[in-house]
This record gives sequence, structure tokens and C-alpha cells, in this order.
Amino acid sequence: MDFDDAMRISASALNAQSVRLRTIAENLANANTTAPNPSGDPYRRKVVTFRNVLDHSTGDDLVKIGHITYDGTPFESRYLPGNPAADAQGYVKMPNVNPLVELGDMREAQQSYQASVDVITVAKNMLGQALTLLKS
Amino acid sequence: MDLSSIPLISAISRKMHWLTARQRVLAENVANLDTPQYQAQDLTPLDFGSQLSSVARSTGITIAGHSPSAPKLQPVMTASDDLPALASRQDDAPHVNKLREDHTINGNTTSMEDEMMKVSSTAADYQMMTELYQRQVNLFTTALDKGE
Repeated sequence: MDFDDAMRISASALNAQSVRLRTIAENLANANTTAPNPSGDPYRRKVVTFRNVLDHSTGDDLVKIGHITYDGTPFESRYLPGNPAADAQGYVKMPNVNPLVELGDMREAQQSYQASVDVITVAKNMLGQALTLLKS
Repeated sequence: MDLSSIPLISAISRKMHWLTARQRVLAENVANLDTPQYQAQDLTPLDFGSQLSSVARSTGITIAGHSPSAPKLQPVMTASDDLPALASRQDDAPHVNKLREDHTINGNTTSMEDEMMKVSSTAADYQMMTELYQRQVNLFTTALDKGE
């Protein structure tokens, strides 16, 4: 049944977008997490990639999470001599998380999520219309 | 009585089959809005009028306004490397085309606005078909009631 497929495909998108939102939450929550000592690295930003997977049993193009990789951009240094992670010159490596980028990403995830929810609603309504034919 | 021998009912069920298949393809597109390198897909449009007259022709009925020589359903060519339309092609299975224009830097060719417009127009068409079907069945019920 194609409506079931439509809903299954949309559900896979909802799942993928929620993993993306979880990663954004991790990034934002750790935007100020530094290393415990001068030799360590602070929190490194995580990036989610999507990939397109063909479900062989149904022939549907589902969305899956590809990898959760680390963002390779360099860390920013900030002068905080009192911090336990400060080096000999008093600089601390700060996480490479940019809250503005994360918020933009979050909005995009929300939009895509909403679009998939709308598709599910429409598919459900169409199925309901087909079922009302039984009443005639 | 075989309802599918009535041209309108048969054309309605073909169109509903097509709309269901299209909804599935659109769900794939919307689900893959953020997938890199994903190519948006759509079905070859189904012309309800020519579909109706082709069904009518096969049952020996002529519909006013549609000449019997009306063109049959043809696949649409979206790119130069697509196969040319065959005059003999008459299968009912919806034909999926890939759209190849790039909208974003990651090679994804879907556009959320286009997809949502298509989803809502598919739903509206589907509603129209179910209502048409209901009207047609109501006509039969009316005719049967008068027979008492």
C-alpha cells in the first residue's frame, strides 16, 4: 500500500531529524565545555550527515543517519589565566561551537520535521477519504 | 454488475492509483530534503481527460468533446538522455522521472516549497476523485430506488 510507504518514509525522516536535533542540543549544551587540564582538547562540535538508503523489502528510499562526525575547524583561544585548562601564557582552548550556526541548523531541522509531519497528515487524510467511499 | 466496466469509474480508479503512487514519491522527496546528492523525483503527469476517453474507446463508448483519435498517454522527456516516447507504450504503471536541476550546493535537487505544493494538490485531486466516485455511485442508487 503506497500510503503506508509514504508514512514509513516520512517517519524515517522524522527519526533522522530528531537525531540531528539531539546533536544540536549536545553542541549547544557544550558550547563552553573546556578541557580539565592544559594538555586536553575542549568539546569538539559534532556534525550529522544524512544518507539515502533503499529498503529492499519495500523499494522505499528511506533516510538514515550516515555518520556523526566531528567538525575539524580549529579551536578558538581565549585569555583566561585563572582557568585550570589555561596554558603557560594563560590561554584556554574553547569549543569550536558557534551558537548562531547551531540555531540556524535547528530551524532547518524544525522546518524539515514539520514538512514530513504535514506529508503524514495529508496521507492519512487521503486514506480517510478513500475509506469514506465505503459509506456511499 | 462490474463497476470497472463503466468508463468514469475505471478512469477514477486509475487516477486514484496514480495519485497514491505520487504521494509516495513526494514523501520520499520531502524525507530526503536534507540528504546530499539526492535527486528529486516525480511521476509523469496523468491526463484524466485522455485517460477517460481511452477507457471509453476500449468499451466502445464515445464521450462528447473527445475525439476518438485523441493522443494516448505519453511519457514526458525531462532530459536529453531519457528514452524517447514510444507510441505503443500503454502500461498503467506510473513512470518515475528524476528532476535534475540543482537548487543547493550539496547537490540535492528538492525544493521544500515545490514539494509541499505538489503534496497539497495531490491531496485535493484525490478528494475530487473520491467525491466524483461517490456522486457516480449515488446516481446508481437513485436509479435502483426508482425501480421499486
